[in-house]
Amino acid sequence: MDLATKIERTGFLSYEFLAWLAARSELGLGILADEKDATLEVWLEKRLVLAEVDVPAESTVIRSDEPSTSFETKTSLRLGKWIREAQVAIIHNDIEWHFQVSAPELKLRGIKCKTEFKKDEEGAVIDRVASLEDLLALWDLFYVRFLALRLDADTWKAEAARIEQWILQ
Amino acid sequence: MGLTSGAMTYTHFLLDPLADGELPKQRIITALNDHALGVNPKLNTPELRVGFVHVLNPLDATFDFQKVFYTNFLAFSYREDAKRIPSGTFKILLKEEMEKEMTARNRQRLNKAEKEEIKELLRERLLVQALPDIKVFDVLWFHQKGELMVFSSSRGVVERFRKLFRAVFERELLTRNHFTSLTRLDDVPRDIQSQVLALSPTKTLVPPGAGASEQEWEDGSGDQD
Repeated sequence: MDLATKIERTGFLSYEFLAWLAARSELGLGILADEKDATLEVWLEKRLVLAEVDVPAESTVIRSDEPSTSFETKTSLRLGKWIREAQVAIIHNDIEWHFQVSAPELKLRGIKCKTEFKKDEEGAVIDRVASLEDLLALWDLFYVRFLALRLDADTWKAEAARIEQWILQ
Repeated sequence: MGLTSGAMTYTHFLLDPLADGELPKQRIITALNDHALGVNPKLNTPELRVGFVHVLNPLDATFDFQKVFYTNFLAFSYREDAKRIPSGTFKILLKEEMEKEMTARNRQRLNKAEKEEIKELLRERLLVQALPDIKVFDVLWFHQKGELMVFSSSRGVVERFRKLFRAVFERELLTRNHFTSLTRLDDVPRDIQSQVLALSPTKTLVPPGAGASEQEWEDGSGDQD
């Protein structure tokens, strides 16, 4: 199997990851395995794009402060659409990030970090890169946590039931 | 731009893990200087000049360690200077040029080769006069980690950058995504890619056709759940 086929074949994981992230944050179940750090907050905000895989052009755009609680979001998920794009907000150790993520590649874009960067150009570059690295490390941790659950059949069965329950709520 | 101000949007790459190790720092500096904007004529056309410039000053096309190497990363910019002749303007001027030529030759018409020659000369003349549209895209390179980001999501820009990078550094850039990133994650099994490939979509969450084949969806074959 060539790399392009492998990437395409595993695309469903990204959609499951975004559904898991939305459900976990909405149900207040926490994202990381061992959340000693009480300052972590993750939520979906402002805009969600849901679409069917075969007809991505026919997408549903939900604009709301809390799109994961919206009736339209749940209805779209029940109708077989999935989260294709989401606006995510994260607060970790008093640093706040806002960005968009799109499936299946899990591309992040429009990353904004609400913190004070140094005023001089060189210092600002160092600060911005450090902030980006922190965010990416955190995002990878979320993905690792999801994969750990996903790769264990029994654990995932229970987790998927929770996500399904969230969709049906 | 992207590294110095504003929201950050980038295309994330992994450096080919099969390539032999990380590049020596001096080689990177030499390569950046050799391919600074406009230096390498092979990479340039009258319409498009591409090359590298300093991350904090797009008009500075000289590199040294201090300008490029930061704490644990490298930063520079990829610049494109594109010249374009507006098609309406070109049409009008071409017509005028052709009429002048016919008058000079005392003829009613020009053959195909003559027309092409006039067209090409006019295009070259106008391109010299045209101001370039300068676009700058920052590049962030985690040299030791083997990861690189170019701050653009435009497919055209990213492909031109990739081509230039390959020509300059002789390294392939592999897009980082949900699958390729698996090998770079901490605390995952060594054979994570094989394990992930053995999975099938969760019936209750993902509609048919997502990644695995529809047949697998219908009969649930290979589904771990």
